[in-house]
Amino acid sequence: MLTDTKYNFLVQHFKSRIYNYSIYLLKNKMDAEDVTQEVLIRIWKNLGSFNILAAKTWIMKTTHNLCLDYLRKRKAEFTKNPYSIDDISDFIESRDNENPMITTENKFTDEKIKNTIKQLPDNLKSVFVLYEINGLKYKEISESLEIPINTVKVYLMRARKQLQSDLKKLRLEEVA
Amino acid sequence: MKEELLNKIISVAYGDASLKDKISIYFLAKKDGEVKNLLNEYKHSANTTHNLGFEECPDNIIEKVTNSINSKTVQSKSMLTDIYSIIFRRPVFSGAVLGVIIMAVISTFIINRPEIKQQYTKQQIELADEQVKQSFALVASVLNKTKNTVEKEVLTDRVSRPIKQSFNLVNEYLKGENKNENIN
Repeated sequence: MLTDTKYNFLVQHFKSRIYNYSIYLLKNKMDAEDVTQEVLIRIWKNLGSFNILAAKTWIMKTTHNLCLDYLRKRKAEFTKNPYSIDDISDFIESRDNENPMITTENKFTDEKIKNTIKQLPDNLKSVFVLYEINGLKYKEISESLEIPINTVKVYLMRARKQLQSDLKKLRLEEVA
Repeated sequence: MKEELLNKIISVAYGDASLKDKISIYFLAKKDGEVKNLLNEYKHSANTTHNLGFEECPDNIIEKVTNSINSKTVQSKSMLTDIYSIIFRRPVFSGAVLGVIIMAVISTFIINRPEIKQQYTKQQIELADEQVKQSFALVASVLNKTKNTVEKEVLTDRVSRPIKQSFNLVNEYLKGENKNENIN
């Protein structure tokens, strides 16, 4: 009974954070759904092994590691078969969002930013999404990604600069 | 522009700079157009990023997970297992529970001191009664012997006989004097 309550609380609180983080890292909704599902099952299995107060770090760490596994797998598949259906669908998805008809509209600024964030290097993107979007603190990010706090700060600053520079380039391209 | 200044501008724009930095950048932006432009650009990106929000997790994922969990754990955990996993698997909770138990035991001993209740068998009581009687009898016999000794030996031989002898002597002495007076 208590286990169910605890689990339901964690699922309600973290399901969107897990899904959101996975989308940014994997740039693919199908994979993000798989990762979210896997993380939620792992939460259930390991419910007794972590403290609820440290749940956020444990969950984000698990999500991050699973995303890295997916990226590695994808990379290996791409080396084996560079024209797999998954990659083509990813490509189509990403190209759709770069369609000038859509991006030039102001109301799609959110999409533009999201896509620009997705294009950031993985290490910068992880820190940026966890800090700016998921609202984790430096220490929590450091524990989730297993990197020093100073590295978290450096990555965050680099990510902000790169995001700004990419958005600037995008704006210039639109004007041109 | 210096890297340090740029970092400060970015931190101010994203809202995680110190108050000191915020004030200094605010005044600098008033004076310097380039700083102002940079600050506004970063602020715009920061605001948009912070307002992105979460993409809602599709409900079908939760359904799939629930089905998967239910099929794996048909025998659901009992309330006792839950309490055990929550309390006793955590060292802090275990320590706290142990502390409470120790305190309860100590306070019980202090408040309700147990009375020493000794129970004897009937035979033991009878034996003790007999022994007491015997000891009283011994004491009584000793006292009787002492009384007899005092009455028969001490009083007669050592007290009354010397007194009697002394009275006899006095009588004889007085009789002798009377005889002498009569002769005279």
